[in-house]
Amino acid sequence: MSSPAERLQEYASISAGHAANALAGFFDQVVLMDPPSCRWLRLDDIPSSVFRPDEWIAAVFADLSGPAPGQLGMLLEREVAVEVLRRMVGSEPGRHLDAAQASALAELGNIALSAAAGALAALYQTVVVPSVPRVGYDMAGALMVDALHSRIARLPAYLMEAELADRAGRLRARFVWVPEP
Amino acid sequence: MSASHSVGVGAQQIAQSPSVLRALGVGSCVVVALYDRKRAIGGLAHLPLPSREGRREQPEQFVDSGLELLLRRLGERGCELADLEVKAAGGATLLASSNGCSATSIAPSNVAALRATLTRLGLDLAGEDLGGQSARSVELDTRTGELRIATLRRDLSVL
Repeated sequence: MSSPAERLQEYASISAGHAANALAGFFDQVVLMDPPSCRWLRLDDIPSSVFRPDEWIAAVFADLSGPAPGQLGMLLEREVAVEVLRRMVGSEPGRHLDAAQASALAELGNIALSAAAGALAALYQTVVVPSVPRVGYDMAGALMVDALHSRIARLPAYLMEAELADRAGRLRARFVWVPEP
Repeated sequence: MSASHSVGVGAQQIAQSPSVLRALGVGSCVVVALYDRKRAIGGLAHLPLPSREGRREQPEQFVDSGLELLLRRLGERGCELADLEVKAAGGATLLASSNGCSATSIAPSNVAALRATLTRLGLDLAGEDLGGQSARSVELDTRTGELRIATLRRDLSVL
């Protein structure tokens, strides 16, 4: 019999696997290298332990509603976001995302986060509804706080890292899941 | 050589010259810098939420109670209200909703709480860089009282 914490970690790993596979399926000839790694952290430690607080990243967040509420996020290093946008819309972002780039990132986030939400729904045997995604392209610490401002207290968060690859190279995606206590 | 202190979300710090107090990756939070030129001492608070009213979390987490706490702590170090320069930065809205609506951000509430608290305490801002859509990194130099603000999108600015 697993403990509640072990069960949550297992759910996080499974949902990240679904999210990463959805991303891989979106791109042609891209595969998921290994099952995503998963660890839990304090939510407010993620910017400093994974990124520098002022590191430039792209992020997509969605709120989860239903009987298992929480928040999900997809975090991409800037270089990964640039590569993803080059593949999706044929342009690279400068200091700002243009409308097409923001829309493309939102769509990509929606695909990944909806897959993760679907996996959580199956695991909890309930309905999990993700909100319209919110997109940001700025400093990691600022984006995390802005997205999760009501939950910046010492909540546990699950951080999942997945590596995708094709002949052209590798892309690392990170997902964060913050279940409501 | 000046010491450097990092001030994380929901934290605040006071330092004597020569030192630098630094808050990195400030988005919707408001950062308030208080500086006493006579005593060459400064304080920086990194405040994520607007009002402590009805909440039980630590006062450092809120604009209203966090600013009052920083004032009190500087008072305990001998600073007088009339000698303090107040500067503020932050309160940016970073996330856009993909359906074309602006995503709900706490940033405007944080800025409003800051202005209301300053008014209540009878304090004026000597400099501000508030609002907008870009995150900031902010540092207070306690040798000069300068508040330096960097973003990913524009040149360094100094208040």
